[in-house]
Amino acid sequence: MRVVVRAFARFREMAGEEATLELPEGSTLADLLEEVVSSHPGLKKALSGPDGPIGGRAMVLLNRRGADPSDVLEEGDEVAILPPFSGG
Amino acid sequence: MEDGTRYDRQIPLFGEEGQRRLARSTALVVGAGGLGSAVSVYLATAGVGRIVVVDGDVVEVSNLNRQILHWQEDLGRPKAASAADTLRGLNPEVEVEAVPLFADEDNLEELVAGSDAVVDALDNFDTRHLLNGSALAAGVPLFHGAISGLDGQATTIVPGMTPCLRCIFPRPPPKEQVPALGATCGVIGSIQATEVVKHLTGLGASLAGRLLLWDGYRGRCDEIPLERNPGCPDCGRGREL
Repeated sequence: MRVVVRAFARFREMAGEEATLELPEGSTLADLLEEVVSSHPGLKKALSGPDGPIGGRAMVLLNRRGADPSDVLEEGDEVAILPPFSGG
Repeated sequence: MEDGTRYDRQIPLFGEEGQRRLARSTALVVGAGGLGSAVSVYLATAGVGRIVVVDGDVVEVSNLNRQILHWQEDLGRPKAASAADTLRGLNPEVEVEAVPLFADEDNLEELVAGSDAVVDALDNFDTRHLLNGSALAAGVPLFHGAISGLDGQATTIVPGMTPCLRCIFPRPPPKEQVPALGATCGVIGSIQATEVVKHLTGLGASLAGRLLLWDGYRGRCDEIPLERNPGCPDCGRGREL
């Protein structure tokens, strides 16, 4: 299946603006993120944290709403990856 | 030069009635930091009749690169009091209430219920999620903003109509000290203030259902369309479970 991934703000410089990834059926959002960081070392470094390779250092939207890493993806899904903006 | 009225330059945007609407409105600004500084300054100068500023912190020297509500002479003072003085100085026609408390479950319900607009000028997602729940419960629009470094985001949440903050960001990001440039707080806080003024006067099209992303490094804006999460624990069916 094909899933469209868009990166925003500083993640764009690390992962490119938009890519269509081919993934096996049954892949989860976590699988997709692993796939993305494996081909973009800069992004992998930015996201690495104590909680694992993704470490919560990215806000990820699946089909325009918040998502869980265990969510199973479907053909045509849209994923947005943006840095966490939490300051005020 | 002859003096005009204070609001001469903005009344052409929304008329005398729009100005009266602003004067009749209460805005709750939760957080008197970088975002709260920009938002509350522009709401006060625009003539929003009553502004309630909530912050339990005191002014430190490291705040002064971005928190323009607070000046050198305010070091050590409660931010809420310092904010109120600055806002009253900018526009004595505005009633300013200083609440020198950290927003929490106990005080948010009452503060939000008396407001026409709730501004998220917080620096952490745990309290943002509390504020989201309070705004949803009271049916009051929530104007979200957040920054990091040169970048930031904003959206407008209308209870029952748009996705809520938890639909978009179900989990808080890790707690880390976020780099912050005053000008970035100015960009995002000014967008929030614009959204509040538009909402209160009925002007324009809001950021409802859209997340605006400001990429300061590249000097560009993007937006992500948003949809409600039907299972959202704050605004969807997850709430009843």
